[in-house]
Amino acid sequence: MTRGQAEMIGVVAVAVLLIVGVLVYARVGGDTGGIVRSAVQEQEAESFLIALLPADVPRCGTTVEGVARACLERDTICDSADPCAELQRILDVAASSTLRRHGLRYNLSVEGTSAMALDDCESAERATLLLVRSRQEIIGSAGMPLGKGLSLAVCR
Amino acid sequence: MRRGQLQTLEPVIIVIVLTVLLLAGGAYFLRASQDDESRRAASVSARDDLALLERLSSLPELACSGPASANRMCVDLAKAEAFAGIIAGDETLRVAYFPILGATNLTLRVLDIDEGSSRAMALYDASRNGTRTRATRTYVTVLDPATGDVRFGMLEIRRSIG
Repeated sequence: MTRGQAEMIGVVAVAVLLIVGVLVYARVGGDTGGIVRSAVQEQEAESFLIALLPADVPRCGTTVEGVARACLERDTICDSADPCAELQRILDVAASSTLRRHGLRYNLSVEGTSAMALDDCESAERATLLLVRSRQEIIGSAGMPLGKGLSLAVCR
Repeated sequence: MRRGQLQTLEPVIIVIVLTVLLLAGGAYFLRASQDDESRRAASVSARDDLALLERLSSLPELACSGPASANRMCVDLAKAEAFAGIIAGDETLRVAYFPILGATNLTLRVLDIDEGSSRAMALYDASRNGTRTRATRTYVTVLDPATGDVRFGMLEIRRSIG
């Protein structure tokens, strides 16, 4: 074996060692912090929906879930006002006083309606990172799930 | 430099270059490990804060009573106002709560959906002065026992991290 060949083998050996080192580091130093962070965000999003649905809307004499139900079932509440317009206002108020205030992007909506509070989450035009998505079913006036839910996606 | 001298110095140059590469690699690895460790510690601490927030809403001093107590994450507004008032005016009591609540700042924010406004209430403040703080939040229902109204609220824990 010539000296040139020996040096080439040495360079390859060093390169292999470096690659193995990087792979081992990436595997051992896996981002457990990221898993915990996402569990925290998941809990935050879920608690947002769970706490919002039973909140009272005094001017309509019902809850947020009641307004969403009225919108879905084409019912009349809020002194004959359009429940879907009221629902839209509620979603805007709830999201802007909390999620937007904390610098998060979000999509908060009620499935099956046009009511949605959007702040560029999952936008095709902006590069956003979806942190978490959560959903809570809305119960109909007959006590059965309507198959539609209040849905929240939070992005950064 | 003559070709002969260059050949003699070749192993020395290789050793120097390899040493520099190894030192740079070691420094990078050390730095990356420290960053990762501090990120992990911050995340675990956020999880602990979240657990604390959940415990907080079930403390008898704050939790809803009566039928509303079936809701796990329900805070009684009258209890919260009384708790905030007592803690703020009594240093001994704040010290007594320190083992449970730690060096944190706890705030309850209650949203008025009709008006579109919100009110923040400082429940407890034993945070250390620091330039950087980390906030962890959970959302709760807030029962006003005077009117029977259920409101949308947020519990926030803020902790100094540097």
